[in-house]
Amino acid sequence: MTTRWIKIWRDVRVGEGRMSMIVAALAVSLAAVVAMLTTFAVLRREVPRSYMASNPASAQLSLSVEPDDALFAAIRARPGILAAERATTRSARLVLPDGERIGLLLFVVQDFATSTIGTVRPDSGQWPAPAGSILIERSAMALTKSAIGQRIDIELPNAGRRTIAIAGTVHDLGVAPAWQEQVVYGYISAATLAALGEPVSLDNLRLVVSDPAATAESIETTARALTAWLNTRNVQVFAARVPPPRLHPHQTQMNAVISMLLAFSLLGLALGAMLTAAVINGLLAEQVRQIAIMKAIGARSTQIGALYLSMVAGLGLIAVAAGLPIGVFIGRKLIAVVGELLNLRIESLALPWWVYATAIVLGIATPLVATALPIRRAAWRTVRAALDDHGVGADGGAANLRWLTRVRFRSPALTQAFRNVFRRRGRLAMTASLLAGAGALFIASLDLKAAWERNVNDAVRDRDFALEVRLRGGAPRDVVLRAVAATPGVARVESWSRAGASRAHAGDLDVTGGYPDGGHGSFSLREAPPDTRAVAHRMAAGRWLIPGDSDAVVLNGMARSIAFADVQVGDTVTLRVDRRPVPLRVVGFVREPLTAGSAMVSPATFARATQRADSTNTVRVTLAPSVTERDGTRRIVDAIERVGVAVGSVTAESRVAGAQGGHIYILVFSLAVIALVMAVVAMIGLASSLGVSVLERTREFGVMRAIGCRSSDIIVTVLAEGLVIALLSAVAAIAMSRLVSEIVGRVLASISNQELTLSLSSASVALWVAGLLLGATLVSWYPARRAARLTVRDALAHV
Amino acid sequence: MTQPHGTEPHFIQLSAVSKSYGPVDRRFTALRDLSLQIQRGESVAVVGRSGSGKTTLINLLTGIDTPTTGEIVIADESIHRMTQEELAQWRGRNVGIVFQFFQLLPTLTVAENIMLPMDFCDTFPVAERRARALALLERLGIAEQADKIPADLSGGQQQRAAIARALANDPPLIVADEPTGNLDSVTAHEVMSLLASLADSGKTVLTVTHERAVDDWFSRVITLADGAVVSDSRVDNPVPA
Repeated sequence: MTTRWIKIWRDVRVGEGRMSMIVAALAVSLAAVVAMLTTFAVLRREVPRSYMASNPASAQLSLSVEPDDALFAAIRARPGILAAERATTRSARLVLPDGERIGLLLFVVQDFATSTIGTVRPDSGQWPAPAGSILIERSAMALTKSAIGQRIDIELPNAGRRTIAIAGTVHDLGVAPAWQEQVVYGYISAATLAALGEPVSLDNLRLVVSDPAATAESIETTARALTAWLNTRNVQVFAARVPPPRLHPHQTQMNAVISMLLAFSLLGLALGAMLTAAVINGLLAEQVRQIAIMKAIGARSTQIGALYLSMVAGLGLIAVAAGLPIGVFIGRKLIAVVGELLNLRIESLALPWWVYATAIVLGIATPLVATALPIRRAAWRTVRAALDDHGVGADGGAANLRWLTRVRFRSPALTQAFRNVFRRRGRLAMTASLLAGAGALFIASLDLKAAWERNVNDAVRDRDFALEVRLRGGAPRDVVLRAVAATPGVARVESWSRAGASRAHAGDLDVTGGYPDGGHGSFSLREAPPDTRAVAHRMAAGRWLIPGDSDAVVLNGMARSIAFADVQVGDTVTLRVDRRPVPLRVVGFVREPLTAGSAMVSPATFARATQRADSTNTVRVTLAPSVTERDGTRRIVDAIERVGVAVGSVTAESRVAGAQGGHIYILVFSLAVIALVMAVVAMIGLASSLGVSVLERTREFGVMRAIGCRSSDIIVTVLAEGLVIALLSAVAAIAMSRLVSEIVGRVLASISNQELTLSLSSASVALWVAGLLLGATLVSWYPARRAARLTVRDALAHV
Repeated sequence: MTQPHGTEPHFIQLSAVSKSYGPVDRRFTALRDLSLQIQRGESVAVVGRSGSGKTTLINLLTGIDTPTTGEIVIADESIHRMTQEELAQWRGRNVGIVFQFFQLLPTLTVAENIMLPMDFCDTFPVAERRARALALLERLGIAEQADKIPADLSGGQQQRAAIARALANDPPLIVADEPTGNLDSVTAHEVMSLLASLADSGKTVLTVTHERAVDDWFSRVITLADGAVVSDSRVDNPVPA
């Protein structure tokens, strides 16, 4: 190693503390970036791979009858059709060991062994399921409160209560996790369903089109052509579902969230690089005379620049070595969490080469880019300018100070601190930006959490009912309402019947963008009493239903985002209900957070649309405060069944909020962690900035001591300087947090289909400012004490 | 002492050199229309009160600063036309500078400080640099301090090390800016003698100093006042103590 490299190596060793701060800040922020890159790279590869391995249906047609074998063979031979399969679904109920009932969605196929479209993967137990047994989606096993091999009681729409053995579990990529939807997914063959006494009609046609690169439009064209052809054979097609081709149901949301987190972690890395620039700037300020001397004895500017840039590159390399494995480790843990959350199957955690390459390039290049300018400035300075550098300049930063002389405080120390802050405006901007960036993200993450909780609270406050009881088919309204109302512990009951609906489009076929499970893009028509007390309506636009409305419909937030984004109050929309077109006039939009997509009409309109008068299939029940949900459910089910009506399922409202909170809190947590990483980096930056500031003003402190200034005055001056910078950054953080909240709020709204109103929370600002002031005091203490301990002689001898 | 060679071309030639600082409305002129010639092997003391232009003259001669007007030619090279990068390399190979506050790099040992100019200018093979540094330290009488850091040395020892560093690339010109300003009188005497003796080995030596009795060491004494030469006297028989 030649002498100049020995010098740089010793500089690093002498400044170990500061260099460690740089490495720590870069390593931590790089680890966050690598974690997001790892998650992004693996999920982007694995999710489509495993989704496509299930050979998802390009389209699913709902037919009026099950096609017989001859017709089915003819369908498979139609142009543009690569494969077809007959299947159906049944909504049933699972009776838990403790007597509670939970929704059971049965996927029925001809034969699991030969099924090739939208296949499920064996997970545990027997495969394929022996005749007379059922397979359960792996994420639903916990909900069944049973184990593989045990028999469970199910209640079928026609056959009633039956017992069936759980043969094993499967993994179905096409459904959301069962714990999230609070529905058990079961997989059963047509023969088994028939053996249970339930009529079977495989009237859903799953299709895979021939063109592997087909677009949604071309698939829809194929579906329409097939529909026209089926109509000529007296088979009606009620609706078609064409999900986005080759796109996992959660892919778009996942990409949005990971991209956002990646963007914030990159911001963290940028702040880490800015910190590096601040520390290196400080080092250069300290070594300004050394640089001058080196140039005086023959060093060229390029040689000096290369020395310091190599130092930064070396620190970046150490940060990569530390941050890369940590980031990969965190990324893999995050993948596991996301996999659990979205019910994904991750076959391989192998990382593509570009993740490593990007991490190495980012880890080294980012600090190099950030420090290039200060290093260039220092290295290219003339020897004379460098030798004449006495810290804050011969004029003491006079140009910056003149306007500040009008600012005076009672305390001279405070006045001096305030003016010192503005002497180096570039450094002030850098330090304050570091702190403001961290603060903005911190405040935004807490605002996001608050907005979500407000949403949940609104949802709870808006609904004054505890249970939604779905009946199996329709039942006389008066009978059901009377039976429930007479049940002890019931405070109120209202009929809120529901019917499957889709938005009718031009032509013979209604095409929706939904997936085979019926979720991800569906809504229902709801009977809503205009004078309801079960729900308090928070209108987003227009009005609520009034008695006498004959064709009015109110759409809730979810329905609007799913199917009516183009509709305004006053527009007429046509729904298809029970295969009939129902024209309705939109009179309002209601927020209804955390509620499934609903188009709400008056009882009379509902009766006309469904052609069922004086009937109900769903009631909402408000319980007396003394009655638990569990007892209320038991009593109500008994009461309804006593009048000869079968209950389909009972949903407790308390489950709604909790079930949907998981996604959001993971996002909030991730944002808060990134914010904390940034805050640590920012505090290191503040400490470094004050350290340099003290060093530059060593002579000033000497003069102050010489004219009688006490140590405590100097400490107060430096501490106040740190606090002033912190407070200035807090103002910027509040402003920046609005922008961050806007971005995060939009992403979150698209993920959750909820209208979120993010507003600045005084609590989050107060928490940040309190933490900031505490942190600023702590990190300012060391440079303050160092300044106070300088003797007059040492300070004045400083060169 | 080496006598100036009147017929030889001047080693240092300053022609109508002026140097001003500051904006037009507050302009300060440190050197006014100064012309000066110095022969190879001369030992020159530059004296004068504070603000007389001594340091400015030194800065111009070492390429640390550039003239506002006028020309500076040293060893046939017009340094006033050089870029900063060219000046750095020229300075490293042709000028050895000794500062008042020694200015040794604190994280390098004494020997390493002396090897640093050789490294930057690549003047000696890597394998020979330490031996040369030790030889220079031996010559200056502080060889035993070679592997100590500057903070462990006395002021006089540090200034000797700084002189050794100035000689590292064997430059023909040695420039010292108040080299004794931070030393006690005995050590200052020794350092002045040392600098003066360099002229005996063929170096041209320029020293800005406040020391009295400069006649004892230097063959020529130039006195500056208000940016101009007010006296330029030659000493026939300087008597180094």
